[in-house]
Amino acid sequence: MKQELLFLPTLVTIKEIKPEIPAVATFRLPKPDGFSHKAGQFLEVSLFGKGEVPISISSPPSYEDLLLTIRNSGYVTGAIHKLKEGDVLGIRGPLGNTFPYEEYEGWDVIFVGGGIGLAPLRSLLWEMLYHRDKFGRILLLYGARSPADLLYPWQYEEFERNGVEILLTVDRGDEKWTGNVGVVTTLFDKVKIEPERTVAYVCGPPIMIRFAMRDLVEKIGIAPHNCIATLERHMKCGVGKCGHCVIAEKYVCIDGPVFRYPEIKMLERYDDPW
Amino acid sequence: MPDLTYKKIGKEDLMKILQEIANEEELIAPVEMFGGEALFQPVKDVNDITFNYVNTLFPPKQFLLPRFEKILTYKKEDGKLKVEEIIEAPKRTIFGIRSCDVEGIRYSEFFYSGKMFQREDLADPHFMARRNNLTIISVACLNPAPTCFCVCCDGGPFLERGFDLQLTDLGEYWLCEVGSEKGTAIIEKFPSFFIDAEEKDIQKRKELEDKVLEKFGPYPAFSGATLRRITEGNIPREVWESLGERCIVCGGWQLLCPLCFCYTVVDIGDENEGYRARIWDSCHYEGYHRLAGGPNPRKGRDRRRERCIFHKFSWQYVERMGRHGCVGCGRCVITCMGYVHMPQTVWEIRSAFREESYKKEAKVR
Amino acid sequence: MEIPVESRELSQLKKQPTICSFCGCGCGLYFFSEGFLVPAQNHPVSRGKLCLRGWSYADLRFTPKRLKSPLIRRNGKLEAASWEEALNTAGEALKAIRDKYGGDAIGVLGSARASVEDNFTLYQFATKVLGTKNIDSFYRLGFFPSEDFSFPDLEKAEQIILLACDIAERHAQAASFVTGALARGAFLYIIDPRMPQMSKLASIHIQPSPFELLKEAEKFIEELEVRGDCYLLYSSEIILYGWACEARKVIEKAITKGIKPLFLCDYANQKGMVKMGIHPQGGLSFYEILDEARKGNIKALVIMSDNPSERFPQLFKEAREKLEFILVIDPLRTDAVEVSDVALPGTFFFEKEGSTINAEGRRQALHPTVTPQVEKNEIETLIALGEKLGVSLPFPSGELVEMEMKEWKPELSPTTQHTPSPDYPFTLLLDPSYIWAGTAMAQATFIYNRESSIILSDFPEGFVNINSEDAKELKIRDRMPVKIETPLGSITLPAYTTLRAGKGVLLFPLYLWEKVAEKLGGVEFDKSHGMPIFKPIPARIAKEE
Repeated sequence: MKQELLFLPTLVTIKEIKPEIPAVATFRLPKPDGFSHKAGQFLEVSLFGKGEVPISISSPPSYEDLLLTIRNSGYVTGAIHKLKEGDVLGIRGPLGNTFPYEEYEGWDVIFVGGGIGLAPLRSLLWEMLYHRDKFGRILLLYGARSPADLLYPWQYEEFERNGVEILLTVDRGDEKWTGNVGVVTTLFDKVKIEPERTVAYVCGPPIMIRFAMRDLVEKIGIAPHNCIATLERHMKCGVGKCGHCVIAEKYVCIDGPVFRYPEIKMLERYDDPW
Repeated sequence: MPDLTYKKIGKEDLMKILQEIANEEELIAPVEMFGGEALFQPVKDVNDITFNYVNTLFPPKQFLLPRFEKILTYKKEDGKLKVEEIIEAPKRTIFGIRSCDVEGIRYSEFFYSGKMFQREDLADPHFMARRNNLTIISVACLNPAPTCFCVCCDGGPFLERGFDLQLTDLGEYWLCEVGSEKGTAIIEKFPSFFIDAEEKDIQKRKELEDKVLEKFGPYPAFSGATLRRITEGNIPREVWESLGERCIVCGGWQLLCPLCFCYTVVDIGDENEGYRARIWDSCHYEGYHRLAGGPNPRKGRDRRRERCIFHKFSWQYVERMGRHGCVGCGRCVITCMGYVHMPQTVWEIRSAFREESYKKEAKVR
Repeated sequence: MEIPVESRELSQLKKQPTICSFCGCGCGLYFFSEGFLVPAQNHPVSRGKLCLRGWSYADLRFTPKRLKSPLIRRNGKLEAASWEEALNTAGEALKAIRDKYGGDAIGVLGSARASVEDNFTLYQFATKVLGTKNIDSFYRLGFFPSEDFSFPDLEKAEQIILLACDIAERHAQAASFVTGALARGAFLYIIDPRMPQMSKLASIHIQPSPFELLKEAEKFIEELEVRGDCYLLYSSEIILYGWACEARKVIEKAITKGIKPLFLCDYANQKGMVKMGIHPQGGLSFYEILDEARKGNIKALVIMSDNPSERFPQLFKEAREKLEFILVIDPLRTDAVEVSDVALPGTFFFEKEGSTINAEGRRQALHPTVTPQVEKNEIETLIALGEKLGVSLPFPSGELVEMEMKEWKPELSPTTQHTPSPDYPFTLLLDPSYIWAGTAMAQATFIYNRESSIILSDFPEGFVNINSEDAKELKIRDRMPVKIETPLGSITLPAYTTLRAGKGVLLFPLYLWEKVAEKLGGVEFDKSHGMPIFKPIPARIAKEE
């Protein structure tokens, strides 16, 4: 990224807004010239007059457009949700580090997602599906509050066609729901994997990451080093200046947002990373 | 210690030079306020400068990172949005700045230039433009205030780096130590005023420094002990809770600290026209840590204080930043509303291990 | 007609301090045009310290809420206008109403965030030009006529009693004096049904049932062995609970024991405003003015730096529908400006000449330390408006103001309180602590990005504060809607569980007052000093199904 553009957003026009589950929509944006990102990175999205919010990129790097899945959870995101196709947003980025995955070629992969946490994982999941032959089994363990809150339901079939084993769970089912009920960690009993050649990617609400990571290591036996999560913090600048996103000595916007379990455990000694 | 060039200059000659500088660019110097306090202000006439101050309550970090700074403007013209970045970086010389504040500027520069992350591509364009246009003429302290404790924190009273020119009051003359190319440039620009310093002047400076060290007041800061204890991460929760109970969450400490530089970003305007500004922020404010949607990992005042002290004193930060985050300027001692300023905090952290004295109320000495 | 913000050339180098216009502490600070400020170190109150709000005061220099030019309502929309035009329109409208219905059909609202001189001129304008006696201010809410004192003495105290006041939240500078005294070895006693921030520092914290609050206080004061300097700090709480009369008795008893009472005013110039005559003097009080307007008896309002919609939005909305004309003079674009017919920009404390009186009774001078962003200040505006109505008003010179300054000692009469009942184990209590939430001053700064009352943005619809242990017993979790029933009615609010509420106490924030009171039978009123009150009510609570 050029230094002059550190705080200056590039303007892009919204191509498409696709409502997902209640209060969540996916925004399709064109890539600015020379833009390239890697799975796990995020963007600072500006709506002028309202402010700037960090949003992780949900589309894989090889995809032609940028997809941002945004939940209406505050002042700025609420305003973004009122936009129409053809309106202008500013983006800065890509920012942050990336999911390590090249080193895991030939391994099995397990994705653990909770709620809107599936959005950043989707980027990596699709990237792996584009290079499907390089990886072994791919599992997606995904939980949400209710069946209506499951993100991207329209895509599960496509995932499965590409050889992703999907296990879903909800906290509270409805009359139509026949699947698992409970938190996402209850799905761990139902999967059989070889822990020594499996890598896990986790994203979701802080409490879910905490317990999912613990169970992946203690119950399933995946090496802590191979448990990878992305953390969430309120980043104002995204380039390691404003100080809002710090956990212990790590700046989530530069040192993260992707961390391995041992790193998070180290941070836990001094601070509350969850 | 780098090779320093020693020069000296007569007191009236210095004022002439400063007037020259003030005519050409912005001269920042301490000015007396109505209540008798000194504050750094842009000066047009050198007669406004006061020498009757130990340090100003407000550090001159304002001139590198303004409290309120417009960073970009946007305007909708014919339905098209136009965004422009504003970088305001006038050429400035700051005179009379104390050693602790110079050290603070050096620390902030290390952070804002991206050196902390070994990512100089992420240097802050606003801060760095102003820093590059700033010349620092510091004045070494000969009489510390009762609140000063820089001697415990390697923040003064004399400096060996970070300044362009460091002046020491030798009575009739100012002794000038040249610390950078910018400093050399000043000497070369006004060659007739500066004369070479003699060995006895340099000797006198050293004696003065030794004398100052004896004058320090009753606020020690056990930075070494604190550093180890914070890094070990096993300070009893009660210490933080006890400190948190007395904290009134004013944030004044962070706003006045020469080494604090957090900010928040706000948009001012409507969708058609306005600007984006950054404003100083403090990690003691609850809103600082709040995440989208409401959760707050550091909701309690004790947790926020722990966070702040961790940033200031942990080995992890010392390793990344090259020094711990306190220069001992003593401003927090003045501005803390709950009397839980840095020396008090550090003292309580240390005594918690010694005699569990946190259970009693610590007395301000 | 925008006046540029830049004014570095004009600022004198030897700056005069100005005064913060948030709470009643009255801290001195140096204000700079670049949008920053420095607490005055040699000021007896601030001593180089400022609270969160004090530091945020600097935001006002660049506030997006600034009213920069006069506005006139044309075809239902507010449009920018010239000063002359706006003054003419306002003058004509006021003249017409005065001549048609008489002066008393006009209500006038002063302000505690305007200077003493502004309020003086407004009083003159109301009495001499409009001929109304209906003059008061919403900033008088919770005011109690009280003795003067000195903050620096507080730091030398041996014993400090906090009678139902949360100083750390509302009067941070006073809290700083108290912590200073504690650090030097003083004892702190708290009598409060809530658990305010400083309660853990207290050697004794009495948490009485809200009904017993004053009885307990009286008992405590009677039994207290006074050593050295002893201070009793109290604030608007007991006034708003309707105990002004009883409180005066307790205070008098304390004085006879050698305890010095300190009343902490909630707003910057509250004392000065009341001294300038902005209180009911035979006319209507602020609440009654709007109430009469709603009934159609008040036809026009002249509002200076006040915003009725902060505390009584519904009442103001209903009154607005009946009012023929509203003139607002305010530096901020408040909700009142949005519904006004003519709005004229005013000035902040740091832009004008004048004085302000803090809770101590200390009269402090104001000086324009930065160039005003508007053409006229309040005094000039009001004098010009007086001319339009054919009366020339005196300029508020020092002597003139000094002469007009009068203490206000209303005859207080006791109010009947509710009694606890076994069917209703809880007590619903007003908590005035989040006093700045929703006010124009808070909205004009970025306090919301910072302040501890950030919880307010988590509960946009309001909340009721329940003791965590009570909540656990009743299986109530955070944000769960709960139904509060009292003998007078019921209301449903989201729960917010903390230890702040004592056991058996339900707290609701001040800005919900009207909404809660409406469901429970309307805002009550203490006629003796013209104050709306909210008495503690026995209540029961249940999870909303």
